[in-house]
Amino acid sequence: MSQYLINGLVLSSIYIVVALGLTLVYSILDVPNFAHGELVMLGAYIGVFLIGLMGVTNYFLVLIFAVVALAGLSVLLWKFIFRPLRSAPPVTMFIAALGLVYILQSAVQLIWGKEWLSLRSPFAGSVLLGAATITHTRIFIFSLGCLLMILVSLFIYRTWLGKGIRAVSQSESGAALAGINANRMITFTFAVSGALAGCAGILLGHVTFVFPLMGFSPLLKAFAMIIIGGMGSIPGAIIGGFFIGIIETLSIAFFSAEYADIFAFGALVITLMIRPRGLMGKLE
Amino acid sequence: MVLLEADGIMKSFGGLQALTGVDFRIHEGELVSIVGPNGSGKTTLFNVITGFHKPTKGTIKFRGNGIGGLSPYKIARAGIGRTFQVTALFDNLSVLDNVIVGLHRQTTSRMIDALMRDRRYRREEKHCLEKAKAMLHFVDLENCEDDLAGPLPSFSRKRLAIAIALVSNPGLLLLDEPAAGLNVEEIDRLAALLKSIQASGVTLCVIEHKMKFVMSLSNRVMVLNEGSKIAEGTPAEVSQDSRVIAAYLGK
Amino acid sequence: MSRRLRTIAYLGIILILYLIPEFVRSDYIINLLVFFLIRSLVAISFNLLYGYTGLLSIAQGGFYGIGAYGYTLLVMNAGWPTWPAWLAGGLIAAVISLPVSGITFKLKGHYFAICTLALSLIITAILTIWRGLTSGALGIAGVPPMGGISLPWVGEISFRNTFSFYPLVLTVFLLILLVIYLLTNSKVGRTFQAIRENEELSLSVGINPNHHKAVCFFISAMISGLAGGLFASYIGFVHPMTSDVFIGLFALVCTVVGGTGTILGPVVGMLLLGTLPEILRIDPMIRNLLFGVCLIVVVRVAPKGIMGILGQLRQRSREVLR
Repeated sequence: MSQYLINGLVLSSIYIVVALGLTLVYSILDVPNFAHGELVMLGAYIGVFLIGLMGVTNYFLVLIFAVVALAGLSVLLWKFIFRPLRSAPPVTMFIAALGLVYILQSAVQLIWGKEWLSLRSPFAGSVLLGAATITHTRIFIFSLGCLLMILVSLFIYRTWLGKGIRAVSQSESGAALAGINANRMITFTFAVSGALAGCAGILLGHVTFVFPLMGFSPLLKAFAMIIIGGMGSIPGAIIGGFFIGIIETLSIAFFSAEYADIFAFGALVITLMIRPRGLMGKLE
Repeated sequence: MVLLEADGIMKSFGGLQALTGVDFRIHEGELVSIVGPNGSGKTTLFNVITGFHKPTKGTIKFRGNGIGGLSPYKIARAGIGRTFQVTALFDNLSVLDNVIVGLHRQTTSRMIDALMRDRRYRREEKHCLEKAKAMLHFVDLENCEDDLAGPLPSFSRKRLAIAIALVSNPGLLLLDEPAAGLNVEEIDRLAALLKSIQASGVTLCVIEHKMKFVMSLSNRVMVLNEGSKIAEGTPAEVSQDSRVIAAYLGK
Repeated sequence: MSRRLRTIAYLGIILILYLIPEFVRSDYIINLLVFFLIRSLVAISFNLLYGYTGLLSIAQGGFYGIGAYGYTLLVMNAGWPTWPAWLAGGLIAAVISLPVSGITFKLKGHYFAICTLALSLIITAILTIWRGLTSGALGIAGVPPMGGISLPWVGEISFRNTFSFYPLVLTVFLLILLVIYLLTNSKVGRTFQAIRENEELSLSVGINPNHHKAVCFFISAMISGLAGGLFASYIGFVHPMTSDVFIGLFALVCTVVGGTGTILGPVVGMLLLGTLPEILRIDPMIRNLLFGVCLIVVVRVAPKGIMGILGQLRQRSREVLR
């Protein structure tokens, strides 16, 4: 049981990192980036490519490369795909994101094939905690996840850039009056979101297999998390994240893996029914 | 005869008190104007009357029947039509279709009738088409009946919005800032239109900023400020009222 | 073109469609056509929801699967005759759409889409987990085809193989197309579009949007369910993945690219993105890539899809000819 809990906690922390990236973009654009899961997937594949195929040995170099590459890609997607659609009805952004999902998934399949790959982490060994075995990898993942949660919160609430992002997400015209360039803020948000996705991808690759459709499930879980926690809210994403993580872990422990999805999505639907705003609101 | 009675209307949004106890009456056949500085609660009052907001407190009666708290479509079916501060149209439908949709509350044919194209359906469609065309003639838009509503110039959009609200013969028509953004000539044309609407038996209640427009048209004026009524009377009486002058100068 | 000429042209096209199996004796091509017609029905059901009423629903796959399982279980477990079972399968899907309507209608745009997506996945999960009813992930094989009909002079017509099934599917397809045409070109369609264009304004003229949205959803789910039933009777096998969310997404892609809000848009889209790649033996991955590219191109450059482009070309040619 405690083994489930530990693994569930670690997985949740990765999902929360995904959810943070998703909620940042939502708060500033009012439209969720449905292709976010594919960015995570690309992060994992970069890891596989660099470590597995190219034999790069410096792990942190790989992490940084994935983070930077995906931050850059995310900004490109904003500039060329989402930004031109801002004046159109919001649904078109959703459809464009869907198009991106198709493109990214199939591109990856064409280049790397459908096989399930694995992404080895540089951490070997494990610790015993009572009845549970925790691998060093998982400790690293959980720590990095928590570190990112803290960093993102600090970034959004303490830094000048973060304040700018919050201003624009609250009111674009108000922010403009204060001299804040909305475009630049949105670009930064996409960059941070992409960076988080890239990192989450590599971490995810250590605990599950890497395959082209791997981004879909984390995306939906991240949606469930931020809808429950409140779209656009950082603490909401974190709380919602642990909530979904616990539901999933419990359902796997008491029922079976098949039920995990039902309960997670069921929680999403129920939240949308009772309180679409979630537990917290937009970025305050 | 009193058409609309509103008593003690209060509306708050969270901590913000938009309306703090408004009483007023609208009598059949008159043209009442509601004026007041920005943020005084005029549009909120309209929204409460037409069901888009539920009153926090207070009662509203239309033709003697309570309508407070009903859904907007039920209030519309009771015979109250309205336009919106930001002109609302069905942009991707034709001008003619826009007005035909306005006749919805008068139609009775069901989906089966539409499917079978039976006599009731065809008769009703013909009837709606005729009424819609007549209404477009009335607001002087008959030349563009096949054009899409979206790209129309702003005065045409306003007239179309009025046509949509008016076509089903409402007993009471609420117009929210119909003269906003119009030039002098258009305002005169609008005034003439409102006069003919009133002459045809429809009671009008208009929210407006433009004082000259209000004064020349209205039988009565009601002044709101910060959510409450501060004056009511004929245009002449209200324009002399010191509280009204203070409210406007103060803003 | 005068009305009479147009009617004759349509009848002529319909006659040709029925006669295709006479000229094309290829099992493969008729099979392709059958799938094309069945999938087009799902796209048409999506178009009703999104193209007319503005509801971006990704739940069609779920209703398709419910219709398929409904037919299968009623015929095999409850011993129903095939035709009533097929209709009942569609009705079950439609009835299940009612609580879905209740849950989702207060949600705007993308929330609505995500919720319907989640619901489609939940339906798939339920079909997998409820082994007692559905045999779970193993699926159910040996689903009987539609029963035969006895016509006065012609005798017994059965629907056991591709060539005999094709006219059945074609007839259902044409009937539903007719129903959609009658509905959308009427007060019903106008009301749907009004709700899509401006819900507030619709309320102010006495339209109850939730009622109409629920009706639209009901009809759409019924069509998807009937399509699923046809699929089950043709393939002879159902499986939880018959309700896969991809079916709904595929319907969305074909409709958006083909042209929302037009009768033939989803059909054209399905032909181009569904059938053509199969005929050309395009690799599914490349095909998916093209899906994505088409979606983005359409959304950026040609929001009205292929039908929109055709409409503009027709407009231009009219202006040139003057």
